[in-house]
Amino acid sequence: MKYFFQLLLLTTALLFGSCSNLLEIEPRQSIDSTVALTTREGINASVTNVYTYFKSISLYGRDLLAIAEALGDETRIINRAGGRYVNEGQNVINSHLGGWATYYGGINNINLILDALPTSPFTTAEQASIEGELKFLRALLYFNLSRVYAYEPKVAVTALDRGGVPLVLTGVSSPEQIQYPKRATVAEVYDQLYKDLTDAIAKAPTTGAPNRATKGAAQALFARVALYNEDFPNAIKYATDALASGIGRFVGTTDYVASWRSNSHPESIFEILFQTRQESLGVNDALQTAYTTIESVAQANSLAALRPGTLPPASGYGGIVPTDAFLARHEATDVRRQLYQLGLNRSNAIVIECTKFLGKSGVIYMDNVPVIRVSELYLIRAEALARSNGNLTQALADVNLIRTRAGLTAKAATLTNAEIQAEITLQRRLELAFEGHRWFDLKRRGQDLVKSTGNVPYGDTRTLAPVPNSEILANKNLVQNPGY
Amino acid sequence: MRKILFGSWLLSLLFCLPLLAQDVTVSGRVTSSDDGTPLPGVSVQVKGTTRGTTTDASGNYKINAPANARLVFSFIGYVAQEVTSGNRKTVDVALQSNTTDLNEVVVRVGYGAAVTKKEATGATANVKGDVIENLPLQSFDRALQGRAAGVQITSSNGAPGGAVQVRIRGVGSISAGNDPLYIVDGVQLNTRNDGGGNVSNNPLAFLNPNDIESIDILKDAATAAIYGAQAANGVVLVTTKRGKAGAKTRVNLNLYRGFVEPIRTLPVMSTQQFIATRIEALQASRPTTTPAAIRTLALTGLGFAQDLTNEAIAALPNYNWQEASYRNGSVNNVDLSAQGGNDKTTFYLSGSYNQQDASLINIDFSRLSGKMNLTHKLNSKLTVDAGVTLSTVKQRGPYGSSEGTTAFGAPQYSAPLILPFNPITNPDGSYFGMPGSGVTIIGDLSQNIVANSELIKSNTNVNQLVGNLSLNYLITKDLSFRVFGGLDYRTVNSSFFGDPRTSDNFGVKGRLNQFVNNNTNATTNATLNYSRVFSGKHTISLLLGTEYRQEVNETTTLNAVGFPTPDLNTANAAAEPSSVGGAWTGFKRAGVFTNLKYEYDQRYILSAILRYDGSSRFGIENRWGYFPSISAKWNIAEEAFLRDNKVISDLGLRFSVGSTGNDQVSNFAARRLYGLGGVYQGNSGIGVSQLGNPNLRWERNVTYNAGLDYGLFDGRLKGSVEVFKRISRDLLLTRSIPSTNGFSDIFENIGEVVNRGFEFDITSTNVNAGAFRWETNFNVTLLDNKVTKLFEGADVLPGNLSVRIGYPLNTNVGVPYAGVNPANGRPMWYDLNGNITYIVRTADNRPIGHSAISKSYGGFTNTFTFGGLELSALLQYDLGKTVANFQEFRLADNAAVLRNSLTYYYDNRWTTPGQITSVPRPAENRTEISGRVSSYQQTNRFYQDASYVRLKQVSLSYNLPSKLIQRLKLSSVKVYAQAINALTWTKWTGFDPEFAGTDNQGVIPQSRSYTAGLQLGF
Repeated sequence: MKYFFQLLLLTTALLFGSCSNLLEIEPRQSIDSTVALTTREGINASVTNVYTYFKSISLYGRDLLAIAEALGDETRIINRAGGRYVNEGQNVINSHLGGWATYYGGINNINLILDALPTSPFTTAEQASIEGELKFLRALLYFNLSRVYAYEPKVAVTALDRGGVPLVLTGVSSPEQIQYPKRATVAEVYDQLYKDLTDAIAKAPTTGAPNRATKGAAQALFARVALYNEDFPNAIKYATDALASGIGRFVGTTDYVASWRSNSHPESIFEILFQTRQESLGVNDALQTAYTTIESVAQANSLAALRPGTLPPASGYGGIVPTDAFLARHEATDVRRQLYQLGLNRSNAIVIECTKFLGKSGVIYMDNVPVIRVSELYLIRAEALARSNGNLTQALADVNLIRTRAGLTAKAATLTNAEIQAEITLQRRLELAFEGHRWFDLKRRGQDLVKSTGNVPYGDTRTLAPVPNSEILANKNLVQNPGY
Repeated sequence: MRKILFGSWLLSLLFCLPLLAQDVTVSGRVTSSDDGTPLPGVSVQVKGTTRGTTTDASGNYKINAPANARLVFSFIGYVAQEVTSGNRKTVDVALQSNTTDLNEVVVRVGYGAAVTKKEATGATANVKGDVIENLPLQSFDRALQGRAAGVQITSSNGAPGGAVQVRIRGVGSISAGNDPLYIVDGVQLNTRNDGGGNVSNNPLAFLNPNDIESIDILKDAATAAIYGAQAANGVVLVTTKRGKAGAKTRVNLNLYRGFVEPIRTLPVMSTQQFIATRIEALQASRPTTTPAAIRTLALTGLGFAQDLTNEAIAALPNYNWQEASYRNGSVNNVDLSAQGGNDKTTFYLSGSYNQQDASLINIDFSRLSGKMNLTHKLNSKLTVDAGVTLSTVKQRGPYGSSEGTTAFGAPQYSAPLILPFNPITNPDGSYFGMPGSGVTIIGDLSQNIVANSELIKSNTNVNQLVGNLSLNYLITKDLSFRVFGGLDYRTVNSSFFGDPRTSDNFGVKGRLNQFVNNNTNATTNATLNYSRVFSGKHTISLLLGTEYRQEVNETTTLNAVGFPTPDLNTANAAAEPSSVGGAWTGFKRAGVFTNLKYEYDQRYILSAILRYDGSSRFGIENRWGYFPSISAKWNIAEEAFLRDNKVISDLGLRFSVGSTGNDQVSNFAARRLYGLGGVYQGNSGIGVSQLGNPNLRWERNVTYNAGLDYGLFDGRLKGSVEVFKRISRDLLLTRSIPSTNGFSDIFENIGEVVNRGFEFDITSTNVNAGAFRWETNFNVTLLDNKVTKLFEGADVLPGNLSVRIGYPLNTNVGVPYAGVNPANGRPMWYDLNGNITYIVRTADNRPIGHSAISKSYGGFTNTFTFGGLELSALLQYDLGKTVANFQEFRLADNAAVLRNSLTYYYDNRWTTPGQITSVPRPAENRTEISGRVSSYQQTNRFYQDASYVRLKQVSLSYNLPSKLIQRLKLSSVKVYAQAINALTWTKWTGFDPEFAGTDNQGVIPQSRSYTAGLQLGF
């Protein structure tokens, strides 16, 4: 019977075309996986693509800054964005950071390139450089995954610790490679971060900063990772190394505000670039619209002169705004206070908004996002020194550098270690505000979140984000965080 | 010899003369009692003689007959009638169609083949074109609603000419498509919905429903298996009208006009009610603040003076945004057709214009179409058959999507939500609250939706050509060969211009999105047909064929911003192109098929089908497959013991089993792919985009069907009963995998869904007394849908909790609502253990006893005829589905946020301790302040029974008496009036219970329409 049909088909084929291409049709928008990474162009394009994961809304596009701030205690939510951020602002259960699948999408692309590199047409040196770059990026993805979904190694409450995140280190591009990983321990995740960052420091290029991964960026991230791990010697060492890398310029008092008005922040050691108009995340999802109603740098500068007359219409939603307490924490001469100003009328509310993200790229709802900048490194080093009871003079010098640059007086050398640490905490809150640090700082120190909409004690269900339910159902080896 | 002959001739002449002298000429007109149309070709005989004639094209006859002769009128398909002429010179007769004769209903079964209903071994539904004629509906799928058992039709939305969801015998597929295969005059249609997103597009809207002769729906595998890998969801065969040989050319003019109106608007809170609840909501979240301070906070938050007196509040105005957005629109249709021919050539020609508005501003549909069917016999052996339909459809779209949107600027979403004290226009008539005007609309919904609708330009043009050409060669009288080519070519041109004056486009100075899509879909097949009767009783027929289909689809998109004035809105006027896009896709299919049929003495029929099909969509290992079916029928009424039975006029038992396939997955679903990724540093990236599966093959449906065709009392009661079991296995399922792999799913052939059903339809002539006739048609489908298998180790689909073993698809999963705590007004839920809680946890989700799949559906038609007057009403029903009313989800905030709510929630809100109600107290931001709580607005609160019974169509028509028509030199005149969606009975409290899917937010609702029309036959 089959032969009969095949004979008939052959006849059909003769009628309508040749037999071999009877059902042949090749996609034009895609490439077969098996050949995609066999060329230099393919690998370069795939590396380019890895960076775009960092631009997504659930990562640095918005959430790692704005949602982290909404969860934290420096902000309040003005409900004028159609309910956006309200639940995160009230720490309603299940309203949290996320992005699980996006992180692993990026990780898989990295793993696939790393797997393909040894047989690629690149020279050994080129391969090493790409490897270093990718390992930095993989470490950054795993670090963020871990701090969103898991506790930090040294402060984890054993009863609540369900582990770190699954560590997937080989690529998946065909059905037989599918894995059902369990959560690695937090310590294992940090071990992997150390490994990747060590490789990155050894191999990543020294040029391309701040928009590409560099050796300096790897050192800076290592410093932060070590601080989260309370591995103070390494935090000190890598902060110092990163500061010596020459990437990023510590801005002065006079150009401090200007540094937040330029497209690229001069202090950036690693910064996510949004370059073309189509990369704008738009009025609903961009960082700018989360924080402010103001359209542009020019408009921000012109508003004071217009008041109390007719103001232009509001652009963004400006849903996440500083609390009065946060604003009051600034001393009178603090230049950083100038980054907070009255916005425009939306939903009949005019309030003080953060203007760190203003469409500085020249395109509305599109800003580059500094991931690590020089100021943070001084604060990391200061904290590591103080908490390890090391060189307190250096610790005080570092924090005073931040203070004096902000237009404040230096703290006296008579400060106790506890006072220095308190000052470091304060300066972190002021210096790194609205950059997504405070929520994670409380968490890595094992501290409670205290806010007017209801407190979140450390270890509460809401300290960690829920692993997506679909993941729990799809992978029997995966354990949900407690309480969800 | 010659003399004798001459003499006898003379003799006979002499005898005859007196007879001739007594003859009178009787004339008259024969019409059909069904619709009063004239019947050409009716045989008129003087009983007892050989004298006879036939009626002409207008149904007129003239015959010489003796006085008091008995005239016999007979015509195929009609009951013969004897009339005594008496002294009358004019005898008009209305013939009744012969309802008993199942033989007359022709069922098309694919590849040009047609059988009588009596010969059909499969479950089919057949709808005649005249049933759906002149309905103010743009596509024939919508017109089938409630008219065919086993066929569930749901309008996706109320946009005229918009998408319709057709499900034949339930939903079998989870991840792949569930749409039937549509074939118009042999051309397999492309059913891609390439509307560019700006309008709701219906790929069947190109065809004027008035051009349709009949629609045959193949429901089981008995006949559908001939379409193999495409037939799993059923096959809909549409045959358009053709000319008739020998008759005078008939010209038909159809005109109808009418209007559409919204079915319902929603009762929302007044300004005063909103302010009162806002105060309650703010107080609830600020228990320590004084009432005076709360009042101030509420008033200032709404933009009022803080010292507004109660009297001033009572005097605040109310504006009705729903009334401003929903309006009456118009319906217009003109079509002109001609059909006729001679014994060599027949033709059908038509042209039409159809226009209809939605009940929402600036959403409409218009179509110009032309149709030609031509059949020509080149010689006694060779016949050529050609058909072409050309149409151009223009649709104006809404702001936001018609299929559902939560865009604040879209009236279909926002109209009931805008706070009612915001005026629509300024005193000077200009729109209120426009960007740049210095005033803003207060509330979350801060866009002037009426301005949006009036100012945007959203136009989508679809130009389509569907053509077919076939040659039929009669090799011997038993054997014929046919080659067929069909082309379905479509271009979609869509553009959306966001006027720079509107809120969303003010900042970018106007926005233009353009979309061009070309789809070329070509089918060709060759078939060999053999049929022969042996020894008078054995009929053997064989069909052998081969087919090839190819489709290519290309898209180009363009987005630009920055327009100097609203009047310039072409792309060249844009200051900056923001993005361009493109897409290309396609597929190929090939197959060979055969159908062998044996029939014995009209009593026993056996049919077997086998198709071998290949599709480019599948994995290289599994591209080809077999699709067999076998079916049989026993016509019991033809047996000797029933042949003379007075009660049973028809009885047939059918059985079929067979397998069909479904390949409705994306064209390259089986491939391992790297696709275009994002852009970084000005460079485009590529990333791994699909895991691929070289073993991917079709989803296979195995359908068992048992059917009974019956006719009682000479066909006064007739219909069919069917029971079926449709097992969809090896489902093309996106199996969830942990997204730690970089992918969250992979396409595999896994899982099984079973649809079991019962279909019953009956047509009964309740009264048939002279000129009065009452006919009833009723059909019902009962459906039981169940997921029976998923992949290894999963009893629920990780990505979609509504898919779980042992439950129907679209099972509602949630945490049941436990009502409001009478003590404090907070909403409560039942956790997994049945305990009352304030917190909804993901882990507490479970099936809550209902699903969004209908349990039964059907229609009930009653037609009353009295002479030329006819009243007909169709009740259509769809029962047993429960859907979350998401629209209400956002209309129950009770001033928790600055959006309006329904008065129901205002009236029933919790206000005092001890009060028993289901509506929680108003609370700012829909939640309590005391941490770790769930939002008040959980889907679980809003499940509603979406069953409905609808007076879908009611029409009254009048056929003018033939005398009057003759005087007007016409062959028929009919005037009529009808209403669509006249009445609806439902518990659903949203705009409309009829929508596809499970989210009704921002879906353009159905509208009610009234039309009046005139149909002239020349």
